[in-house]
Amino acid sequence: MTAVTAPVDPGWLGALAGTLDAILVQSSNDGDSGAALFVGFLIGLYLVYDGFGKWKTKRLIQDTPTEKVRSMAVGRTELAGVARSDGETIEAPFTDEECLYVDWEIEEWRKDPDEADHEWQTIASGTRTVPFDLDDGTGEVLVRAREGNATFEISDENQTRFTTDRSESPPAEVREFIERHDRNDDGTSVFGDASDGLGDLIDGDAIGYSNRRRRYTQRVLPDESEVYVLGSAVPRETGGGMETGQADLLEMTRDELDKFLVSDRTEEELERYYGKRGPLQIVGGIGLSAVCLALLLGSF
Amino acid sequence: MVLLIVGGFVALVLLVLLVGYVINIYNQLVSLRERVDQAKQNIDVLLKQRQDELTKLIDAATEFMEQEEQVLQELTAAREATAQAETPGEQAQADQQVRQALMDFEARAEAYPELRSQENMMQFQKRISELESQIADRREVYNEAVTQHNTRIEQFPYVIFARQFGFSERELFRADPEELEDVDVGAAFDQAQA
Repeated sequence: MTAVTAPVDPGWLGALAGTLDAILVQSSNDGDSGAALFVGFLIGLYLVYDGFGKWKTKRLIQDTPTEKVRSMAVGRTELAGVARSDGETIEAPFTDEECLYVDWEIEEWRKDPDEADHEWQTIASGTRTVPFDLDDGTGEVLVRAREGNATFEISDENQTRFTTDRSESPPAEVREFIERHDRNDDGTSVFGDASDGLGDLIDGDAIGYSNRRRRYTQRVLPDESEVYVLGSAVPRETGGGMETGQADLLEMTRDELDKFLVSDRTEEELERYYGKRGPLQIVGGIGLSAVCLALLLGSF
Repeated sequence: MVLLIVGGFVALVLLVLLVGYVINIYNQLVSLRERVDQAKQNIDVLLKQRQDELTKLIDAATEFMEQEEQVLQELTAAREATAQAETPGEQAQADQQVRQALMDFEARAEAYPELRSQENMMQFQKRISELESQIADRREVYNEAVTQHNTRIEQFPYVIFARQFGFSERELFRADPEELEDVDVGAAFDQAQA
């Protein structure tokens, strides 16, 4: 078993290469090759669209001045400070730490019946977050990031990954997590519907034991960590008003139009991250779509 | 034939991207301009609150400081100057006037123990002090927004659209040189006592 706290993630480039590889293998077979190429073509277009969005996000971060909590006003706001629990925390699934956000994933090295190669396939995953206070030294404001309404960009420093070989048991923390399964009193999972697959792991695979290679990954935003938030300041849901300059009456959330970004990276790191990834994704997406289109046309 | 279609597809995607890029450039400029206006309005909200607090302070002090007509007039004049200031330059000047008037007022208020013991007086002064800090923060944000706006409209390719659509440079808030100097509280106090 290998445990890595800051793993080398192949990222989207690796995924793109994998997709292209799978498509090329698929295209050499008869049958579903046309469909696979068409899917690859669409994935390429999506990458272009998403890359353009990332470039726009970079500009948004760059163009929004960082405010201080004590003087923040209603509207789009950028803040930086320490994330502090507002009373509730989440226990990280695979490590012993208290967090404000966590997403986890269990993958297995599987071979698709229709494909010649193996790939990591997600067999269980989940996300959970709790509201927290952001303290920038001038005051505190509630950040109400909920699943689905915020984008969390977590750096490698707060990512933990365990990899187990065939027939090897996962580490004790992972086993405990799967055994606990974090059930509420009424029997529902605290991870909600996102925890699809855990039941199967318990019932079918004898608590995390598998005859395949497995990868256990978690990304967390630890309590008391430095955080960057770009979102909308709005009157608090409880006891709020429209007065400005009173952080205890405001909270950070996402409105209909604005982006809501929470990250443990600094503003400069995020600018670099989006600034690089956006254009690369656009170029990669155009390339993937063009190759798929050429192969698709060539097959007729 | 295949190459032609693929080439056409790539050209089409690049064209769509170019159109999207151009639209985005214009939208960015609009967004920056809106940001500056918003930052200015956010300062105005606090200035209005400070005006209200100053009015309350003057009203409360008048009762106890009837002999200090000059100090109260100075404070009233400073409040009026802030209300009339429109541009960042005028606001900076009016701000300096308010600060000076408040310093004089506080120094003179020392001679009136009954005034100092009034709880609401202390609250007004504390509130005004908090508002001063918040106004200073928001001016920093305003200046950052203006700097981004002014820099962007001079950069290529933004400069083409900025000129075409009439985006002009916005005025920065510049603090009065006197504000940048260290405050000699002792001297100010002596001056007010004299």
